[in-house]
Amino acid sequence: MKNKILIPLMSLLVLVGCTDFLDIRPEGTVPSAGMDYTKSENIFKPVAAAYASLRDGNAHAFNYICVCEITSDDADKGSTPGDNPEAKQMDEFTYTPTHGLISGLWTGFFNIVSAANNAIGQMPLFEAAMQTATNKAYTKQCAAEAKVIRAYAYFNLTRTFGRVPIIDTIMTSEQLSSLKQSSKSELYTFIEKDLQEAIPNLPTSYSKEYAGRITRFSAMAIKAKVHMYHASLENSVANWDSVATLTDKIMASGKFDLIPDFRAEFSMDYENSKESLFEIQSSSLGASTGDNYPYVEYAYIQGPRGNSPSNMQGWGFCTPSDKLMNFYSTRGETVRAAATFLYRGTVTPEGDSIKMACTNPVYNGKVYTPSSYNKWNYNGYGFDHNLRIIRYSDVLLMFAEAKVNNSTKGLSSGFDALSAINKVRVRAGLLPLGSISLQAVWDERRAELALEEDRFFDLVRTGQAATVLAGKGFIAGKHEVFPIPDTQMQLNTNLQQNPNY
Amino acid sequence: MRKKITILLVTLLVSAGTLWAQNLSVNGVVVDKNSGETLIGASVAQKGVKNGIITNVDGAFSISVPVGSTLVISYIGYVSQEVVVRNETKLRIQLNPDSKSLDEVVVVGYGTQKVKDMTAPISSVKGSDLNKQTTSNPMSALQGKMSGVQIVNNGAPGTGPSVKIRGVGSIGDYASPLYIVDGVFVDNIDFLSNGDIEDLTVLKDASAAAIYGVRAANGVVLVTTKKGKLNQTNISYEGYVGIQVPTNVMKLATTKQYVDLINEANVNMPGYSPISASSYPASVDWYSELLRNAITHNHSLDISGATDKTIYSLGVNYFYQEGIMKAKNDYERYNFRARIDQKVNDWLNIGFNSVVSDYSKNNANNEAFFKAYVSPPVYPVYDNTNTSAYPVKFGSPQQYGFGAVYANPMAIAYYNDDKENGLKAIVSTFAEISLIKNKLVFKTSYNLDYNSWKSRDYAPEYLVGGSQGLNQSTLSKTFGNSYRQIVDNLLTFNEKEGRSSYSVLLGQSTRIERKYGMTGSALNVQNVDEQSLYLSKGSSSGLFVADANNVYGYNGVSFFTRGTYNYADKYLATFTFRADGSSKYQEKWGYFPSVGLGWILTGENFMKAQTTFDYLKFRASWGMLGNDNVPANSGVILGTTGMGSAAVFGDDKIYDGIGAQTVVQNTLKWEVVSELNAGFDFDMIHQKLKGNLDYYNRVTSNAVFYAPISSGGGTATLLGNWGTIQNQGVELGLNYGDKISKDLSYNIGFNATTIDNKVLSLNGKRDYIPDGYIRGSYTTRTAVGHAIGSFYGYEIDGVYASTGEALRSGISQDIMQAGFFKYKDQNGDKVIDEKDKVYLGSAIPWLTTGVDFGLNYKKLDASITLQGQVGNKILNAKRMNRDIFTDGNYDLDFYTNRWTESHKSTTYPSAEAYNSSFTQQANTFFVEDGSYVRIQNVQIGYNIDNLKGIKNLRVYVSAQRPLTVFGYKGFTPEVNGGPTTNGIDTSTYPMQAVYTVGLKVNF
Repeated sequence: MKNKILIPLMSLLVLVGCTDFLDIRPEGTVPSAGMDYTKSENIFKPVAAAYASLRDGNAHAFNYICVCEITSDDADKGSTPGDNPEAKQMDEFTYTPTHGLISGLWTGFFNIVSAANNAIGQMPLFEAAMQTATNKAYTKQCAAEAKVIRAYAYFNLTRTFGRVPIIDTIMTSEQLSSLKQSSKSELYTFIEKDLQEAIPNLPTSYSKEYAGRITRFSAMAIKAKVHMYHASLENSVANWDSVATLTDKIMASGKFDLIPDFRAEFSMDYENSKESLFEIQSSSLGASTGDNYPYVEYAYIQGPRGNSPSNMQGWGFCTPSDKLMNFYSTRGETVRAAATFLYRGTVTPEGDSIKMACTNPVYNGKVYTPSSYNKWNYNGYGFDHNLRIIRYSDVLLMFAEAKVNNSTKGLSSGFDALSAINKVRVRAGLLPLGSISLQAVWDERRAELALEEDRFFDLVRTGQAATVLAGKGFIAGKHEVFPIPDTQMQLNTNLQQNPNY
Repeated sequence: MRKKITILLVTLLVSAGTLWAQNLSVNGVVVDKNSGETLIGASVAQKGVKNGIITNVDGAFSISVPVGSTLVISYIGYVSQEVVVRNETKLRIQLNPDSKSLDEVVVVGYGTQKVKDMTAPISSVKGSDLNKQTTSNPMSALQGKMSGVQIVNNGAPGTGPSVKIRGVGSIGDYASPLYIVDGVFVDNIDFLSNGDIEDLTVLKDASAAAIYGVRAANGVVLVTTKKGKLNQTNISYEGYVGIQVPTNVMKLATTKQYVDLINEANVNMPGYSPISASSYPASVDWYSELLRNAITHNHSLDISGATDKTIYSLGVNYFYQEGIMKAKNDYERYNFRARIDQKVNDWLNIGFNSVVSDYSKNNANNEAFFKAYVSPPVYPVYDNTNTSAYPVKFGSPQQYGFGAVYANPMAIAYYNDDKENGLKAIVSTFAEISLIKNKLVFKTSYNLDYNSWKSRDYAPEYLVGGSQGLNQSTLSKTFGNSYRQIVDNLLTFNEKEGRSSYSVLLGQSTRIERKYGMTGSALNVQNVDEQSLYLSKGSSSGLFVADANNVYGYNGVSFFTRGTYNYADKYLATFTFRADGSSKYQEKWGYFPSVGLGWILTGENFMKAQTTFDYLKFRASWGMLGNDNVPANSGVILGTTGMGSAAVFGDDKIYDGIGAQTVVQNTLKWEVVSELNAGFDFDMIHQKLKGNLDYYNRVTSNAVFYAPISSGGGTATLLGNWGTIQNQGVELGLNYGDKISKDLSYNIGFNATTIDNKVLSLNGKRDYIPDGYIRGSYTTRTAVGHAIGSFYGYEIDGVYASTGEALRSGISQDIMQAGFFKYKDQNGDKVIDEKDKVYLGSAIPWLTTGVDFGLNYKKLDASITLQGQVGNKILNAKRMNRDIFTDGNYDLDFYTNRWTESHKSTTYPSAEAYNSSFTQQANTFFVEDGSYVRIQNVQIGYNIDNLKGIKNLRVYVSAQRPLTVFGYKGFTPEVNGGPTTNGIDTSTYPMQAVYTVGLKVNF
């Protein structure tokens, strides 16, 4: 009988467990809330995640190419005529607020904002926990890098969508869905402030294993570009002065120069070169298969469609337009034309043949990646091709434009408008100009930066869009910015649609 | 051997006995007292000795017994009768029906209860009923059998259906009921065969399920596996062989039809030159290339029995099913089942039960079906001119100018080699101690559900063309295991005083659930045989190994109590209360009461006079249940690591990162289901008609699911307590059985459930929750007053016959061209825009119903089960893809009905309009009615008794799902999805009918 009582008692003993039985964290996760802020090796980790967010497929791949380049007069949709009607709508300006690529682009850039906010929010906690001055300074540098990333994302958001909400901290979903849009002026102020705060805390260069990380000059170049756009909105003189000052500092630093061979600048061998101010790093890490490698399909999307072998083919989108080719031939461009156009039925200097079987007569040559670099298991064209965001030639041309706009600042480099633009021209095998005009700078920008997602925004910025893009369906007063995605308007009913959408 | 001798001796003794005593040969017949029907198979036995017989098909018996002995006559569902044998040699025994076999016991939470004592709605089905159907999964066999239970099948071999009890309240994949197999919580019962089951009970409302607490909010399916019966040794074999035939396969366009459509679609494309069908070498019907009739067979052997002290049961089952895709595609399962319950002494019972299931399957690559759906019919399956293809010369769509989204479906099927196998073990043990005899019992049990699995997917080096190929072979592998342990301690007290009886249960339960896994891949592994497929045998550079990312660890603790009270078998009450703790919620503890009342009206004097009801019970119950079957711990901020958060600089150098969302995570509160149920159980017409009628109102408050949120927080969706959802309706179950003559009897069963799903509140957080994102647009909207996840879009008001008509209409929309839809201007502002979108119905049917018909004639029996649902909507998302697959194939229905200049349809767009994103959005063309009716099962059997040492033999032929009738333009009207994305159909897997021949033998 005693046994009878014993068993229930023993069972009850099992009950007396530890009190934290119900407190278990999800398996296979690292708590960001539980980040060890005393460890200096952790400082960079949230910033690394912000860099990683730049590779988001929504931000810098198909959506980016379709929205930011196919809309320009330099590019056609490419691929087969029926392939991807959404991309075709970009080419014809028939997109609506329910356009999936526009919706994705919004999400992609706001995800970069979020990743940067996470890093920016954590740096003060590291700073407080660090003991040495060096480490404290490093937290400031890391915060500065994240701010540059945030500023870059907002710069793209505002030039794409016009008025967007400012998110600079952690919020609840209710707060996110009740935000109001800031004006363009507020946005430019916000972006410039981020960059202004970042610049003094950033190093001027990194060691080789960190090549591609944001430097003081990357921030300056981005800031110069922001001011250049800001100048078309308001405070023209002050903004052009900022453009001149910033670009002049970069030029005077002596750290940057043009790669003598224009075509080589776009090769894998010249990634993060002395011409590079800001690049999005893409790598398949030399691996040939797998799910999760740090690559961007930017080059792949524009690779020659229908080519063989399979590691030498892409989707064939965003092909150079006849207008662009005519523009080059009228100007007598040979160097830049050879680098920008990849014709079918030709063999590249590296020995790859672009077969006649390809769908389109010509492809974007700036993403050309020789077969020796495409190690991926089929379909791996250009996975290691970095996305050039700002090159030194852009800096030279921004400087020239500021000068043509009568800025008196920026005297330390010894450049003037003419010498800056001619440096770009000479490298491209063209004769130096004897005199300079605004149109000359704009044309030079077009020739130099073709198919680098700059032209459409330049046309809008310089007020040429309505005339130049009229044939494509551009409507003035509407298409200067893209519509606020319908999906976002449903998630945040405070958002106001852009005019005429 | 010994037993055989014993049997021999007994036989000898019995025959010897007849010599000694003065025996009387008694003949008789056993009949139902009310109807006078003869009862076949009633037991007639001499009391106290082993002398007995059962009545024959005429209800007659003949037995030799001593004068003065007592005969016990018993029959299931009737009150047993004793008759003392005097000198009558002809007996007519009238048995009183035992009010609807109300002493029938059903398994309820942590115990059994008499049906008559139940205060909650439950449905129960015997294993023998399930076993009539040839489904690989017992839940599929239940389709159409029970009110309130909606079963949505999935076609692929070895995958179970999705089951919803009384509508949709909770988060998608997690809205499935709790399955309990012999006390062990499991996620599904796919591993059981129909023959393993003794009985299956569904607890539908919160008061019945309350005792199971945290996982039971969406209903409970209780399964008892076979166990032995006292003094019966049973050895049985069952087997069937069947053939699965694909049904309702959509017809697609031929090359000629395809070319017509493509030319029409591009008619206004500048510079387009029409193509001709003769420029293509083939016209392939990809589905008929891919499909085959496939074999399935099943064999079970069961041995069971019981003595005074021991109940045992042992079973072996083998199941094989070939997939309908012509590829390495099958499912094979061995089940071993053993159960033993032992009475150790007068106060201790112990038991052990185990089910081991060992399966292996070759998964087909279902992408092949999708590619078959979109692939143009114009290129050949095999193509010798495709010189670069190897090792097999498959035809390549890229050779004919098609983009990378197309691939040869047959090549996908051919180069797929994906094998998975695993082992599942369910083990439960218990000890039951009687502390006060027949009054106070303590039971402690340990239950384990252990799973381990291994899968490997080998893709050889091959090239079809374009992007379809691999230049290095790839092997990927996954290993994993999961286990769930539950320790239960229960103390039960029963007491009877005068006319009242009551019971009290006190219980405690501890749960531990874990899942772990690893995954890896390698290149260039030589595929000699299964033994050569090891990651380490591949190239060293391509090796990739990682932890699986769907791992988990949850704990839970619960305390609960239940009291039942019965006064005079007329008034019944049940009360439960639980306290549940779960590691999944930030708010750890929840407290949930329930109460149930029953009143047996036919027990009252005032009901004695009436003759309408033989039995009538009124039930009412209300209960609250916390649901922790939600994604765990998601409410804490997670850091994301790995390559997706890593920076890369310099020469391919990786710098680890930790990313995080920057939206404040919602603190998760308990999702609570509160349910009111009121209903009747009744027997009428001399118990020929039995039925139940219930009204239910189930409200899920703080419903936990993922909802899309505004961008900027680093995540597209966020888990939260987003709203309150109500499901209410009526359930009716009727069963009529009658015997027309001694040879002929029949029964008809009918059940119907209505569901009215409505969002009551979004917790003040949102005006509505959009979801079902398809290329730039949301297709569903969840808002107060509408069903959860209702489709939201344009109503189509016709198709413009001409551009002129469009312009004259005075209503402006984005495209006003002939052959394009005319969307309805709902707000009358003459502009078609967002404001004209309306709710277009939801994927939740308002009626689910089933009909059963059974007929017995002599030794023949026949049955048919029909099943159907009405009123659910399906978004035909696979048709809604033409803005990606612009040059993909069309279905024949579209070809036949499309708008053309010569056939101006008012419901179908032109081929040109069909490709436009203006057309390709949620509207009444793509949101279709999903109602269907199906013949679930037809069966004819023949029974032979007492044949040369065989107690009973049955042969049958059966057709499972031979016919489904629906108007939906898809492969199947059965479509799954999360609560806010329900009914979005992308499936291209055909349904199958199964025709079988089977045999059951009892020895």
